[in-house]
Amino acid sequence: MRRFIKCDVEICTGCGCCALSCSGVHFKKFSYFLSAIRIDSIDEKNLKIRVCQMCVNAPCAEACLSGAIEKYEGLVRINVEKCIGCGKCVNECPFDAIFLISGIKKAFKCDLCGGEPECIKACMHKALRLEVVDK
Amino acid sequence: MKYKGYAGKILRVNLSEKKISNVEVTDYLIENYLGGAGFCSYILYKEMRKDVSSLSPENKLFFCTGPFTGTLWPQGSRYVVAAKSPLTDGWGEAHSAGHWGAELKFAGYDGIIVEGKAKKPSIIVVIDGDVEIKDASHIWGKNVKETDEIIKKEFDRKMKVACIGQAGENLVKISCIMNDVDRAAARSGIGAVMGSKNLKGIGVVGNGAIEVADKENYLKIIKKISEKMLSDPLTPERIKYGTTSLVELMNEIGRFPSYNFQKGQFEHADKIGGEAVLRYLIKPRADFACTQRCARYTCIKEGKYKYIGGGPEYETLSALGSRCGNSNLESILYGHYLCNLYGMDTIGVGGTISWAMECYEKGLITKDDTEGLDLSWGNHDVIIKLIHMIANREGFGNILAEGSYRAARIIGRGTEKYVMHVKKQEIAGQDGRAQKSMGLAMAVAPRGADHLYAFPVLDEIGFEEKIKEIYGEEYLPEIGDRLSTKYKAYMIFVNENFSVIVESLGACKYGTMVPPALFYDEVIDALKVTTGISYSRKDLEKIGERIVSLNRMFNIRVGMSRKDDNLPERFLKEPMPTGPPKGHVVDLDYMLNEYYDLRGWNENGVPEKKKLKELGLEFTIDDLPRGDEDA
Repeated sequence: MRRFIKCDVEICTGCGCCALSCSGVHFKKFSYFLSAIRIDSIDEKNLKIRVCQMCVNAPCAEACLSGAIEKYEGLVRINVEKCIGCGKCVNECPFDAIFLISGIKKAFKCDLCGGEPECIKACMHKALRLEVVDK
Repeated sequence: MKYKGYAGKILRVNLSEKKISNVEVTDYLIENYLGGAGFCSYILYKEMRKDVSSLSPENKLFFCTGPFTGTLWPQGSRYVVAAKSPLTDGWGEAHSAGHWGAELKFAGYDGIIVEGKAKKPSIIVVIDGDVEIKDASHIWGKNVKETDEIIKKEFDRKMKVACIGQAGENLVKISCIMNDVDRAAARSGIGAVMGSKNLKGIGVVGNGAIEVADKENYLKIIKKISEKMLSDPLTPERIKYGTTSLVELMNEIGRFPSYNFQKGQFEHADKIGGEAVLRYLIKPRADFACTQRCARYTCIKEGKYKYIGGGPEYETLSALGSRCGNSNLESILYGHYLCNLYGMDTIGVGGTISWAMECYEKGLITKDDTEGLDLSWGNHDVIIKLIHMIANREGFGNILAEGSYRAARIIGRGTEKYVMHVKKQEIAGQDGRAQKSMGLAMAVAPRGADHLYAFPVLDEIGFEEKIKEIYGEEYLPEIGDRLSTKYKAYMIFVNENFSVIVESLGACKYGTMVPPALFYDEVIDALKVTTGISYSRKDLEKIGERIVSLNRMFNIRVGMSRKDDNLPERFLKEPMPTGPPKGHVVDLDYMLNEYYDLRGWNENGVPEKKKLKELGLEFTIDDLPRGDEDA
């Protein structure tokens, strides 16, 4: 079973409330670059949302040199203590959804906030939802 | 700096000397002026001599965010850009949102002061702590969209850009500064100031973060405030229509200016209103951290008016629509798009074209002046042509590019009578005869005709409960009656004080003024958890009064006074022809006397010495005009 954040880009307004609340909750600061969910504009009409999709055979877990990335009840989790900040997971992620936090030099990605994602709560336009997939 | 929420420094770029330095954001500045409009008012008053010419290198252009910019305040996206206005020769200010302001905070700056003039076309590039002045000769002459793309390609795809189009380069007096492609800091001719400095744009990348004072409770408090705004009964309409549905509403109450304000109702309003615009809507858009998402994203798929872009707003539907007698919605949408590309204020452009159209109707302007163009009401081909000509200062467009007031001075022949302006700036789609409080608001606003400085809305359709809460029950029913002048001075006094606070915080007037969901209580709570400042309503009102009187002094020292707090003859003497306000004019003197009294200004509209001292504005006392210095 996989649980991950899904965005309906047709509805998304690109306001960034999701990113801000993610950084607020995880780092107690506000910044796009401390967020596990990022918004890119591809061109004028299209937005792309990057957030961990909790892959079944997670390439990040396979690439991790220190065994810091583990699968746990449908989640792909980074064990911050074990992370050595090598950045291999960042390169391997097919969704560009892992970020190396400068300063602390650790990998960071979506952790579904322990079950109640803040970004979904913050999105007033209801563009985000928690997708549950059986395989 | 003991407060959070601010970046802590303002960037100073001198384009003449190619010098880059930092200005510290002091506790004094924060405690007395808060940010945004407050910082601009204080620093520009202190740093500029009163005789500075607005298009000279001595004018300073100050972009400034507030403590809420870049945070989760329900619309924490705004910035102010101020300078001496080339349109009014007085205090000039414009406001915008988008993402640029937040990016500047993330880059580590609360604002940017631009001084001097570059020898060649230049752009300022800010990538966190790295600031450079770069050559922009290859971008000069490009429109706003092209400029945005070129800068992003050259430096960083994530860069946020504020820039001018060809209109600002050509010193068009009704030109503006655009950011994030289609967000406009529109009024006061601010685009021309940037053009006069040979500054094409400012690109910012910010990788930093903003810290708040109360990390534990911040999200909880802000969430409550956000929910309050979103649950306001007016919010769903805002989301669905943006401001476009104001067309239908204004038309119903006889407050929809048409044919250069000759009428207050437009027979084709349904063709250009909110319902009609829905057919072209792709989706609503939001600025940074905005949950109200009132911005529009529209397109016309084919034909001569094909485009895709942001907008329109109510003002454009009025300015390029009803005010010009134009019922062709597609031409209005396309005209709006062109104004965004060229970087022009749609209110200024529409106001100037509609003035010219009335003069053409009356034979005061002829085909000799217009080089053959037929300026009949509703001729949308010509409206589009004129937009191109104004931006490029071609032919008749060169005269119109001066704005309607100066264009009328150039042409003469009695055309001056039909200019709908205050202090030389075009009036927006708001008729003071149909809403008396708005008449006063426009007359006294420091940047000239300005419906947003006070932004009275509660008496438009009488929100009684809100009126009781904000002004007090004792002022009903007259204060809720849009056609009454009673207590309107008090309404404008209260509104202006709050509104300048909103503009100083980097917050948006939508959500605070309308829908009237958030007021001092919410601002006080948010200010505490964001910055750590504990202010009461009285403290904030004092800051509001301070900023308003300081803006006033900026104008007083360039020679303005009561004579400039005036309205066009049409508002004062020509009764409204139809609708609920039929027969009404604006009794301005009555409201003006009461307003000056509340402000502590004398009967000539000059702040009294004791008021200036009370507000901590002693440094302006030497600038009081001879004869007005007593008390």
